[in-house]
Amino acid sequence: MRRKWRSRLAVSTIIANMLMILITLSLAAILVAWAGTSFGAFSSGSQLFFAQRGQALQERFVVEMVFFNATNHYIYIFVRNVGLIDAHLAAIYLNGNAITATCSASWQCLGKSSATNLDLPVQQVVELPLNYGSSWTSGTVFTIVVASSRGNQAVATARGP
Amino acid sequence: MISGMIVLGLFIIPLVAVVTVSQQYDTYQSTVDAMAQKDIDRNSENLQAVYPGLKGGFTANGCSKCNQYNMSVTNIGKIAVQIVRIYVNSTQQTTGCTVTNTNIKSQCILSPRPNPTPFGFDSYDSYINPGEPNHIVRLWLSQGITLPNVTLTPSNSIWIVTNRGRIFSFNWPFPPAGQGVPGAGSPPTIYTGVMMVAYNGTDNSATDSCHSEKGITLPAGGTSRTLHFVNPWIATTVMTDVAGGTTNLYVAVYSTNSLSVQIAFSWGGMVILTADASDASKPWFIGGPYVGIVYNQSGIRQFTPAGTNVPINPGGDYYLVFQLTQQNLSPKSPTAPGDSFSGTAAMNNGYGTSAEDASFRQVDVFLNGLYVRTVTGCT
Repeated sequence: MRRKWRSRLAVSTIIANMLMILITLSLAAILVAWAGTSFGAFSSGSQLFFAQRGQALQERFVVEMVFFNATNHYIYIFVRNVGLIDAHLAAIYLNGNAITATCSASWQCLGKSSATNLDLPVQQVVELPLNYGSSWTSGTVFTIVVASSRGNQAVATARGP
Repeated sequence: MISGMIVLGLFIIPLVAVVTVSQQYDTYQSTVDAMAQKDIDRNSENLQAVYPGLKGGFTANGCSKCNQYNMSVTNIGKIAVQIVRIYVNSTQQTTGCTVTNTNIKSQCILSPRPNPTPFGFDSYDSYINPGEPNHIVRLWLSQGITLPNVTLTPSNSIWIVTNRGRIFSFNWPFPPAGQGVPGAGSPPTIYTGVMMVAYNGTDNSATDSCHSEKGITLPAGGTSRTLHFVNPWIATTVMTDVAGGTTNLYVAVYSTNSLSVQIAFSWGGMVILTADASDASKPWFIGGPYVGIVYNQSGIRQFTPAGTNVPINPGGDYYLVFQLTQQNLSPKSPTAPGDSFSGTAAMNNGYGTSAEDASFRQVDVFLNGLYVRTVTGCT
Protein backbone atom coordinates (compact mmCIF):
# COMPACT_ATOMS: atom_id res chain seq x y z
CA MET A 1 0.00 0.00 0.00
CA ARG A 2 1.37 3.19 -1.09
CA ARG A 3 1.68 5.87 1.41
CA LYS A 4 -0.42 8.91 0.72
CA TRP A 5 2.17 11.10 2.25
CA ARG A 6 5.77 10.63 2.03
CA SER A 7 6.25 11.57 5.62
CA ARG A 8 3.76 12.06 8.39
CA LEU A 9 6.14 14.37 10.20
CA ALA A 10 5.46 18.12 9.76
CA VAL A 11 7.81 20.15 11.93
CA SER A 12 9.58 19.02 14.92
CA THR A 13 8.48 20.00 18.39
CA ILE A 14 11.53 22.21 18.79
CA ILE A 15 10.83 24.09 15.62
CA ALA A 16 7.24 24.51 16.63
CA ASN A 17 8.21 25.90 19.98
CA MET A 18 10.68 28.26 18.43
CA LEU A 19 8.08 29.49 16.03
CA MET A 20 5.62 30.07 18.83
CA ILE A 21 8.22 31.94 20.83
CA LEU A 22 9.10 34.01 17.80
CA ILE A 23 5.49 34.89 17.16
CA THR A 24 4.95 35.72 20.81
CA LEU A 25 8.02 37.89 20.93
CA SER A 26 6.96 39.71 17.81
CA LEU A 27 3.54 40.38 19.21
CA ALA A 28 5.06 41.43 22.52
CA ALA A 29 7.42 43.81 20.77
CA ILE A 30 4.53 45.31 18.91
CA LEU A 31 2.56 45.57 22.13
CA VAL A 32 5.44 47.20 23.98
CA ALA A 33 6.00 49.64 21.15
CA TRP A 34 2.33 50.49 21.05
CA ALA A 35 2.17 50.90 24.79
CA GLY A 36 5.26 53.04 24.83
CA THR A 37 3.94 55.28 22.08
CA SER A 38 0.49 55.55 23.59
CA PHE A 39 1.60 56.24 27.12
CA GLY A 40 4.33 58.52 25.88
CA ALA A 41 1.83 60.55 23.94
CA PHE A 42 -0.46 60.56 26.93
CA SER A 43 2.37 61.70 29.17
CA SER A 44 3.61 64.43 26.85
CA GLY A 45 0.07 65.56 26.14
CA SER A 46 -0.74 65.90 29.78
CA GLN A 47 2.56 67.68 30.33
CA LEU A 48 1.65 70.22 27.67
CA PHE A 49 -1.84 70.57 29.06
CA PHE A 50 -0.72 71.14 32.63
CA ALA A 51 2.06 73.46 31.56
CA GLN A 52 -0.30 75.64 29.55
CA ARG A 53 -2.94 75.58 32.25
CA GLY A 54 -0.33 76.44 34.83
CA GLN A 55 0.95 79.37 32.82
CA ALA A 56 -2.59 80.58 32.20
CA LEU A 57 -3.19 80.43 35.91
CA GLN A 58 -0.04 82.36 36.68
CA GLU A 59 -0.93 85.10 34.25
CA ARG A 60 -3.04 87.77 35.82
CA PHE A 61 -3.58 91.37 34.86
CA VAL A 62 -6.07 94.07 35.75
CA VAL A 63 -7.36 97.27 34.25
CA GLU A 64 -6.68 99.67 37.08
CA MET A 65 -7.81 102.95 35.58
CA VAL A 66 -9.89 104.24 32.70
CA PHE A 67 -9.40 107.86 31.72
CA PHE A 68 -11.71 109.66 29.35
CA ASN A 69 -10.57 112.56 27.22
CA ALA A 70 -13.58 114.14 25.61
CA THR A 71 -11.49 116.53 23.56
CA ASN A 72 -9.60 114.07 21.44
CA HIS A 73 -12.16 111.27 21.93
CA TYR A 74 -9.61 108.97 23.44
CA ILE A 75 -10.08 106.49 26.22
CA TYR A 76 -6.92 105.70 28.08
CA ILE A 77 -6.73 102.44 29.96
CA PHE A 78 -4.02 101.37 32.36
CA VAL A 79 -3.30 97.66 32.52
CA ARG A 80 -1.11 96.21 35.26
CA ASN A 81 0.40 92.74 35.37
CA VAL A 82 -0.19 91.38 38.86
CA GLY A 83 0.59 87.77 37.98
CA LEU A 84 3.67 85.63 38.35
CA ILE A 85 4.73 85.59 34.71
CA ASP A 86 4.80 88.05 31.86
CA ALA A 87 1.45 88.65 30.27
CA HIS A 88 1.12 88.56 26.52
CA LEU A 89 -1.63 90.99 25.54
CA ALA A 90 -3.18 89.88 22.28
CA ALA A 91 -6.29 91.95 21.74
CA ILE A 92 -8.45 94.75 23.09
CA TYR A 93 -12.18 94.98 22.66
CA LEU A 94 -14.26 98.09 23.18
CA ASN A 95 -17.95 97.31 23.51
CA GLY A 96 -17.40 94.05 21.67
CA ASN A 97 -15.41 95.48 18.81
CA ALA A 98 -11.73 94.86 18.41
CA ILE A 99 -9.74 98.06 18.69
CA THR A 100 -6.08 98.79 18.29
CA ALA A 101 -4.30 101.00 20.75
CA THR A 102 -2.83 104.08 19.15
CA CYS A 103 0.52 104.58 20.78
CA SER A 104 2.09 107.94 20.08
CA ALA A 105 3.84 109.05 23.24
CA SER A 106 6.92 107.34 24.57
CA TRP A 107 5.27 106.44 27.86
CA GLN A 108 2.43 104.65 26.14
CA CYS A 109 2.41 100.98 25.18
CA LEU A 110 5.74 100.53 26.95
CA GLY A 111 7.40 102.62 24.28
CA LYS A 112 6.27 100.44 21.42
CA SER A 113 4.34 101.61 18.42
CA SER A 114 1.61 99.07 18.82
CA ALA A 115 -0.05 97.26 21.66
CA THR A 116 -0.70 94.17 19.58
CA ASN A 117 1.18 91.16 20.94
CA LEU A 118 2.55 93.28 23.74
CA ASP A 119 4.53 91.53 26.44
CA LEU A 120 3.74 93.07 29.80
CA PRO A 121 6.36 92.21 32.43
CA VAL A 122 5.42 91.37 35.98
CA GLN A 123 4.27 94.39 38.02
CA GLN A 124 4.56 96.64 35.01
CA VAL A 125 1.72 98.96 34.08
CA VAL A 126 1.06 100.07 30.55
CA GLU A 127 -1.01 102.96 29.29
CA LEU A 128 -3.03 102.08 26.21
CA PRO A 129 -4.77 104.89 24.29
CA LEU A 130 -7.93 103.80 22.53
CA ASN A 131 -9.21 106.10 19.83
CA TYR A 132 -12.98 106.08 20.07
CA GLY A 133 -13.16 108.22 16.96
CA SER A 134 -16.08 110.40 17.89
CA SER A 135 -17.64 112.05 20.85
CA TRP A 136 -19.72 109.98 23.17
CA THR A 137 -22.92 110.75 24.96
CA SER A 138 -22.46 111.48 28.60
CA GLY A 139 -23.34 108.43 30.59
CA THR A 140 -22.47 105.97 27.87
CA VAL A 141 -21.25 102.73 29.37
CA PHE A 142 -18.07 101.30 27.92
CA THR A 143 -17.02 97.71 28.38
CA ILE A 144 -13.36 97.22 27.73
CA VAL A 145 -11.89 93.74 27.45
CA VAL A 146 -8.17 93.12 27.34
CA ALA A 147 -7.37 89.58 26.24
CA SER A 148 -4.14 87.68 26.41
CA SER A 149 -2.83 84.95 24.16
CA ARG A 150 -3.28 82.47 27.01
CA GLY A 151 -7.00 83.10 27.03
CA ASN A 152 -7.23 85.32 30.06
CA GLN A 153 -9.26 88.49 30.11
CA ALA A 154 -9.41 91.64 32.16
CA VAL A 155 -12.72 93.41 31.91
CA ALA A 156 -13.39 96.99 32.88
CA THR A 157 -16.68 98.75 32.71
CA ALA A 158 -16.74 102.52 32.91
CA ARG A 159 -19.27 105.24 32.34
CA GLY A 160 -18.22 108.03 30.05
CA PRO A 161 -18.32 111.55 31.45
CA MET B 1 12.57 34.76 31.26
CA ILE B 2 11.81 36.65 28.10
CA SER B 3 8.14 36.43 28.82
CA GLY B 4 8.73 37.80 32.26
CA MET B 5 10.64 40.74 30.86
CA ILE B 6 7.87 41.44 28.43
CA VAL B 7 5.26 41.33 31.12
CA LEU B 8 7.42 43.51 33.32
CA GLY B 9 7.85 45.99 30.51
CA LEU B 10 4.16 46.10 29.98
CA PHE B 11 3.75 47.00 33.62
CA ILE B 12 6.58 49.49 33.78
CA ILE B 13 5.59 51.54 30.76
CA PRO B 14 2.17 52.65 32.07
CA LEU B 15 3.60 52.93 35.53
CA VAL B 16 6.18 55.43 34.31
CA ALA B 17 3.50 57.29 32.43
CA VAL B 18 1.26 57.46 35.46
CA VAL B 19 4.11 58.66 37.66
CA THR B 20 5.06 61.30 35.12
CA VAL B 21 1.52 62.55 34.80
CA SER B 22 1.17 62.58 38.57
CA GLN B 23 4.25 64.73 38.90
CA GLN B 24 2.91 67.12 36.30
CA TYR B 25 -0.40 67.23 38.06
CA ASP B 26 1.32 67.92 41.35
CA THR B 27 3.21 70.79 39.76
CA TYR B 28 0.01 72.12 38.30
CA GLN B 29 -1.80 71.72 41.58
CA SER B 30 0.93 73.63 43.40
CA THR B 31 0.44 76.45 40.89
CA VAL B 32 -3.29 76.34 41.54
CA ASP B 33 -2.64 76.51 45.28
CA ALA B 34 -0.17 79.37 44.87
CA MET B 35 -2.60 81.41 42.79
CA ALA B 36 -5.42 80.59 45.19
CA GLN B 37 -3.23 81.89 47.99
CA LYS B 38 -2.58 85.02 45.98
CA ASP B 39 -6.32 85.47 45.62
CA ILE B 40 -6.73 85.07 49.37
CA ASP B 41 -3.97 87.60 50.00
CA ARG B 42 -5.43 89.92 47.44
CA ASN B 43 -8.85 89.80 49.00
CA SER B 44 -7.35 90.27 52.44
CA GLU B 45 -6.10 93.72 51.53
CA ASN B 46 -8.16 96.49 52.97
CA LEU B 47 -7.06 100.09 52.97
CA GLN B 48 -9.16 102.83 54.37
CA ALA B 49 -8.47 106.51 54.11
CA VAL B 50 -8.74 108.28 57.42
CA TYR B 51 -9.54 111.82 58.16
CA PRO B 52 -8.48 114.25 56.78
CA GLY B 53 -7.48 112.11 53.83
CA LEU B 54 -5.21 114.70 52.29
CA LYS B 55 -3.52 117.73 53.67
CA GLY B 56 -0.46 119.74 52.97
CA GLY B 57 0.48 121.79 49.99
CA PHE B 58 3.96 122.81 50.97
CA THR B 59 7.39 122.51 49.47
CA ALA B 60 8.96 119.12 50.06
CA ASN B 61 12.32 118.79 51.73
CA GLY B 62 14.98 118.27 49.12
CA CYS B 63 12.82 119.21 46.21
CA SER B 64 12.05 122.84 45.68
CA LYS B 65 9.89 121.98 42.70
CA CYS B 66 7.73 119.56 44.64
CA ASN B 67 4.44 120.43 46.19
CA GLN B 68 3.97 117.91 48.97
CA TYR B 69 0.73 116.53 50.29
CA ASN B 70 0.27 113.94 52.97
CA MET B 71 -2.27 111.19 52.54
CA SER B 72 -3.56 109.36 55.61
CA VAL B 73 -4.57 105.74 55.26
CA THR B 74 -5.11 102.87 57.66
CA ASN B 75 -4.50 99.25 56.79
CA ILE B 76 -7.45 97.48 58.36
CA GLY B 77 -6.67 94.26 56.52
CA LYS B 78 -4.72 91.34 57.88
CA ILE B 79 -1.91 91.54 55.39
CA ALA B 80 0.76 94.07 54.52
CA VAL B 81 0.01 96.27 51.54
CA GLN B 82 2.26 97.91 49.01
CA ILE B 83 0.92 100.89 47.13
CA VAL B 84 2.22 100.99 43.60
CA ARG B 85 0.27 103.84 42.08
CA ILE B 86 -2.05 106.65 43.04
CA TYR B 87 -4.48 108.34 40.71
CA VAL B 88 -6.04 111.66 41.61
CA ASN B 89 -9.09 112.83 39.72
CA SER B 90 -7.97 110.81 36.77
CA THR B 91 -11.20 109.39 35.54
CA GLN B 92 -11.99 112.18 33.16
CA GLN B 93 -10.41 115.07 31.45
CA THR B 94 -12.16 117.82 33.34
CA THR B 95 -11.10 116.79 36.81
CA GLY B 96 -7.45 115.97 36.56
CA CYS B 97 -4.60 117.85 38.12
CA THR B 98 -5.27 121.51 37.87
CA VAL B 99 -2.43 123.85 37.12
CA THR B 100 -2.77 127.07 39.05
CA ASN B 101 -3.87 130.08 37.05
CA THR B 102 -4.42 128.04 33.96
CA ASN B 103 -7.21 125.97 32.63
CA ILE B 104 -5.01 122.99 32.03
CA LYS B 105 -6.20 119.74 33.48
CA SER B 106 -4.52 116.46 32.90
CA GLN B 107 -4.18 113.00 34.25
CA CYS B 108 -2.79 113.04 37.73
CA ILE B 109 -0.77 109.88 38.10
CA LEU B 110 1.71 109.29 40.89
CA SER B 111 4.26 106.50 40.96
CA PRO B 112 6.60 105.48 43.80
CA ARG B 113 9.89 107.36 43.92
CA PRO B 114 12.82 107.02 46.34
CA ASN B 115 13.35 110.77 46.45
CA PRO B 116 11.02 113.73 46.15
CA THR B 117 10.11 113.99 42.50
CA PRO B 118 7.16 115.73 40.92
CA PHE B 119 4.30 113.32 40.27
CA GLY B 120 5.58 110.72 42.65
CA PHE B 121 5.07 109.45 46.14
CA ASP B 122 7.58 108.22 48.67
CA SER B 123 8.37 104.60 47.94
CA TYR B 124 9.26 104.09 51.60
CA ASP B 125 5.76 105.11 52.51
CA SER B 126 4.24 102.66 50.08
CA TYR B 127 4.52 99.72 52.47
CA ILE B 128 1.82 99.61 55.10
CA ASN B 129 1.85 96.99 57.81
CA PRO B 130 -1.34 95.17 58.73
CA GLY B 131 -3.31 97.11 61.26
CA GLU B 132 -1.14 100.18 60.93
CA PRO B 133 -3.26 103.24 61.61
CA ASN B 134 -2.90 106.71 60.17
CA HIS B 135 -0.08 105.79 57.87
CA ILE B 136 1.19 108.85 56.05
CA VAL B 137 2.03 108.60 52.38
CA ARG B 138 3.87 111.62 51.09
CA LEU B 139 2.69 112.71 47.67
CA TRP B 140 4.77 114.99 45.53
CA LEU B 141 3.32 117.10 42.81
CA SER B 142 4.85 119.76 40.72
CA GLN B 143 4.80 123.31 41.97
CA GLY B 144 1.80 125.03 40.52
CA ILE B 145 -0.38 121.98 40.72
CA THR B 146 -3.37 122.43 42.93
CA LEU B 147 -4.31 119.31 44.81
CA PRO B 148 -6.87 118.75 45.92
CA ASN B 149 -9.05 121.17 44.15
CA VAL B 150 -11.27 122.49 46.88
CA THR B 151 -13.73 123.97 44.45
CA LEU B 152 -14.24 120.76 42.58
CA THR B 153 -17.75 119.42 42.62
CA PRO B 154 -18.68 116.97 43.85
CA SER B 155 -15.26 116.14 45.25
CA ASN B 156 -11.81 114.89 44.50
CA SER B 157 -11.38 111.22 43.80
CA ILE B 158 -8.23 109.45 44.95
CA TRP B 159 -7.53 105.92 43.74
CA ILE B 160 -4.94 103.76 45.44
CA VAL B 161 -3.62 100.74 43.53
CA THR B 162 -1.77 97.95 45.32
CA ASN B 163 0.75 95.55 43.89
CA ARG B 164 -1.77 92.73 44.15
CA GLY B 165 -4.13 94.56 41.85
CA ARG B 166 -6.62 95.85 44.39
CA ILE B 167 -7.95 99.36 43.99
CA PHE B 168 -9.14 101.43 46.91
CA SER B 169 -10.61 104.85 46.53
CA PHE B 170 -11.94 107.66 48.59
CA ASN B 171 -13.27 111.11 48.02
CA TRP B 172 -11.79 114.26 49.41
CA PRO B 173 -12.95 116.13 51.28
CA PHE B 174 -14.80 113.55 53.29
CA PRO B 175 -18.53 114.05 53.23
CA PRO B 176 -19.62 115.66 56.43
CA ALA B 177 -20.92 113.18 58.92
CA GLY B 178 -23.14 113.59 61.89
CA GLN B 179 -24.78 116.73 60.72
CA GLY B 180 -27.90 115.84 62.55
CA VAL B 181 -31.45 116.42 61.58
CA PRO B 182 -33.87 119.12 62.54
CA GLY B 183 -36.02 118.10 65.45
CA ALA B 184 -39.33 119.20 66.80
CA GLY B 185 -39.82 122.37 68.78
CA SER B 186 -40.08 126.03 68.18
CA PRO B 187 -37.64 126.95 66.93
CA PRO B 188 -36.76 123.44 65.88
CA THR B 189 -33.90 121.71 67.50
CA ILE B 190 -30.91 120.34 65.74
CA TYR B 191 -29.72 117.11 67.19
CA THR B 192 -26.17 116.60 66.26
CA GLY B 193 -24.95 115.03 69.42
CA VAL B 194 -21.92 117.15 69.95
CA MET B 195 -22.16 120.63 71.22
CA MET B 196 -19.36 123.06 71.44
CA VAL B 197 -18.76 125.74 73.92
CA ALA B 198 -20.60 128.84 73.02
CA TYR B 199 -19.16 132.10 73.97
CA ASN B 200 -20.46 135.50 74.72
CA GLY B 201 -17.99 137.81 73.11
CA THR B 202 -18.25 140.43 75.76
CA ASP B 203 -16.68 138.67 78.66
CA ASN B 204 -14.45 136.04 77.10
CA SER B 205 -15.92 133.38 79.27
CA ALA B 206 -16.59 129.96 77.96
CA THR B 207 -19.54 127.96 79.04
CA ASP B 208 -20.63 124.48 78.26
CA SER B 209 -23.94 125.54 76.95
CA CYS B 210 -25.45 126.71 73.79
CA HIS B 211 -25.47 130.40 73.46
CA SER B 212 -27.85 132.60 71.60
CA GLU B 213 -27.45 136.29 71.53
CA LYS B 214 -30.43 138.31 70.67
CA GLY B 215 -29.92 141.08 68.24
CA ILE B 216 -30.73 144.63 68.86
CA THR B 217 -33.78 146.31 67.48
CA LEU B 218 -32.93 148.62 64.72
CA PRO B 219 -34.71 151.85 64.11
CA ALA B 220 -37.09 151.87 61.25
CA GLY B 221 -35.66 153.19 58.07
CA GLY B 222 -32.10 152.55 59.02
CA THR B 223 -29.80 152.01 56.14
CA SER B 224 -26.50 151.05 57.62
CA ARG B 225 -25.43 147.52 58.08
CA THR B 226 -25.30 146.45 61.65
CA LEU B 227 -23.23 143.64 62.95
CA HIS B 228 -24.33 141.27 65.59
CA PHE B 229 -21.37 139.58 67.10
CA VAL B 230 -22.33 136.20 68.28
CA ASN B 231 -19.15 134.38 68.87
CA PRO B 232 -18.88 130.71 69.40
CA TRP B 233 -15.61 130.16 71.04
CA ILE B 234 -13.79 126.93 71.17
CA ALA B 235 -11.97 126.15 74.37
CA THR B 236 -8.25 126.49 74.29
CA THR B 237 -7.72 122.92 75.35
CA VAL B 238 -9.69 121.64 72.42
CA MET B 239 -7.90 123.83 69.98
CA THR B 240 -4.61 122.74 71.40
CA ASP B 241 -5.57 119.26 70.40
CA VAL B 242 -6.41 120.58 67.02
CA ALA B 243 -3.02 122.17 66.61
CA GLY B 244 -1.05 120.59 63.86
CA GLY B 245 -4.05 118.71 62.65
CA THR B 246 -7.41 119.41 61.27
CA THR B 247 -10.89 119.83 62.52
CA ASN B 248 -14.43 119.96 61.31
CA LEU B 249 -16.64 122.64 62.70
CA TYR B 250 -20.32 122.10 62.28
CA VAL B 251 -21.89 125.46 62.81
CA ALA B 252 -25.59 125.97 63.00
CA VAL B 253 -26.66 129.54 62.52
CA TYR B 254 -30.13 130.63 63.29
CA SER B 255 -31.90 133.71 62.13
CA THR B 256 -35.26 134.59 63.60
CA ASN B 257 -36.25 137.24 61.19
CA SER B 258 -36.89 137.26 57.51
CA LEU B 259 -33.50 138.55 56.60
CA SER B 260 -30.47 136.56 55.78
CA VAL B 261 -27.31 136.37 57.72
CA GLN B 262 -23.78 136.67 56.60
CA ILE B 263 -21.17 135.07 58.69
CA ALA B 264 -17.43 134.92 58.93
CA PHE B 265 -14.98 132.88 60.91
CA SER B 266 -11.60 133.80 62.15
CA TRP B 267 -8.67 132.33 63.94
CA GLY B 268 -6.68 134.49 66.25
CA GLY B 269 -8.30 137.57 64.87
CA MET B 270 -7.48 136.66 61.27
CA VAL B 271 -10.43 136.02 59.01
CA ILE B 272 -10.16 132.56 57.55
CA LEU B 273 -13.51 132.10 55.94
CA THR B 274 -16.13 134.58 54.97
CA ALA B 275 -18.51 135.33 52.22
CA ASP B 276 -16.84 137.35 49.52
CA ALA B 277 -19.30 139.91 48.31
CA SER B 278 -16.90 141.28 45.74
CA ASP B 279 -16.67 138.21 43.60
CA ALA B 280 -19.80 136.32 42.65
CA SER B 281 -17.75 133.45 41.31
CA LYS B 282 -16.01 133.07 44.63
CA PRO B 283 -18.71 133.37 47.21
CA TRP B 284 -16.49 132.17 49.97
CA PHE B 285 -13.21 133.72 50.65
CA ILE B 286 -10.62 131.40 52.06
CA GLY B 287 -7.59 132.81 53.70
CA GLY B 288 -4.84 131.94 56.03
CA PRO B 289 -3.39 128.51 56.44
CA TYR B 290 -6.80 126.89 56.31
CA VAL B 291 -9.14 125.50 53.78
CA GLY B 292 -12.76 126.05 54.45
CA ILE B 293 -15.40 124.07 52.68
CA VAL B 294 -18.98 124.95 53.17
CA TYR B 295 -21.83 122.51 53.06
CA ASN B 296 -25.47 123.12 53.57
CA GLN B 297 -27.66 120.92 55.70
CA SER B 298 -28.24 118.57 52.81
CA GLY B 299 -24.57 117.86 52.70
CA ILE B 300 -24.15 119.72 49.44
CA ARG B 301 -21.50 122.29 48.84
CA GLN B 302 -22.89 125.71 49.57
CA PHE B 303 -21.78 128.22 47.01
CA THR B 304 -24.31 130.93 47.22
CA PRO B 305 -23.53 133.70 44.80
CA ALA B 306 -22.01 136.58 46.58
CA GLY B 307 -23.42 140.03 46.49
CA THR B 308 -26.78 138.87 47.60
CA ASN B 309 -25.34 137.97 50.95
CA VAL B 310 -27.63 135.08 51.52
CA PRO B 311 -25.39 132.27 52.61
CA ILE B 312 -27.95 131.38 55.20
CA ASN B 313 -31.63 131.12 54.71
CA PRO B 314 -33.49 133.35 57.07
CA GLY B 315 -36.19 132.46 59.46
CA GLY B 316 -35.21 129.06 60.64
CA ASP B 317 -32.62 126.64 61.72
CA TYR B 318 -30.25 126.45 58.87
CA TYR B 319 -26.79 125.40 59.29
CA LEU B 320 -23.63 125.19 57.32
CA VAL B 321 -20.72 122.91 57.79
CA PHE B 322 -17.33 124.48 57.74
CA GLN B 323 -14.69 121.95 57.23
CA LEU B 324 -11.51 123.67 58.24
CA THR B 325 -8.25 122.08 57.37
CA GLN B 326 -5.00 123.42 58.65
CA GLN B 327 -2.80 123.38 55.63
CA ASN B 328 0.59 123.61 57.16
CA LEU B 329 1.94 121.36 59.80
CA SER B 330 3.31 123.97 62.10
CA PRO B 331 1.71 123.58 65.50
CA LYS B 332 -0.52 126.29 66.72
CA SER B 333 -1.41 126.30 70.33
CA PRO B 334 -3.68 129.10 71.28
CA THR B 335 -3.18 130.27 74.78
CA ALA B 336 -5.60 133.08 74.86
CA PRO B 337 -9.21 133.35 73.82
CA GLY B 338 -8.19 135.77 71.14
CA ASP B 339 -6.24 133.01 69.44
CA SER B 340 -9.19 130.76 69.36
CA PHE B 341 -11.65 130.09 66.66
CA SER B 342 -14.49 132.51 66.56
CA GLY B 343 -17.41 133.24 64.37
CA THR B 344 -19.23 136.39 63.56
CA ALA B 345 -22.75 136.71 62.33
CA ALA B 346 -23.78 139.81 60.54
CA MET B 347 -27.19 140.73 59.40
CA ASN B 348 -27.47 141.33 55.74
CA ASN B 349 -29.18 144.66 55.93
CA GLY B 350 -29.34 146.77 58.95
CA TYR B 351 -32.65 148.35 58.37
CA GLY B 352 -36.07 147.19 59.21
CA THR B 353 -38.85 147.59 61.59
CA SER B 354 -38.49 144.51 63.61
CA ALA B 355 -35.87 143.09 65.79
CA GLU B 356 -33.18 141.18 64.04
CA ASP B 357 -31.18 138.60 65.71
CA ALA B 358 -28.86 135.92 64.63
CA SER B 359 -27.63 133.14 66.73
CA PHE B 360 -25.00 130.56 66.47
CA ARG B 361 -27.17 127.76 67.53
CA GLN B 362 -24.39 125.40 68.06
CA VAL B 363 -20.90 124.56 67.03
CA ASP B 364 -19.93 120.98 66.81
CA VAL B 365 -16.31 120.05 66.87
CA PHE B 366 -14.96 116.97 65.25
CA LEU B 367 -11.36 115.99 65.54
CA ASN B 368 -10.24 113.61 62.87
CA GLY B 369 -13.85 112.84 62.26
CA LEU B 370 -14.65 112.05 65.88
CA TYR B 371 -16.86 113.94 68.20
CA VAL B 372 -15.09 115.64 71.03
CA ARG B 373 -17.95 117.16 72.90
CA THR B 374 -21.52 116.16 73.58
CA VAL B 375 -23.92 118.77 74.79
CA THR B 376 -27.62 118.95 74.22
CA GLY B 377 -28.45 121.33 71.48
CA CYS B 378 -30.21 124.62 71.92
CA THR B 379 -33.92 124.90 71.77
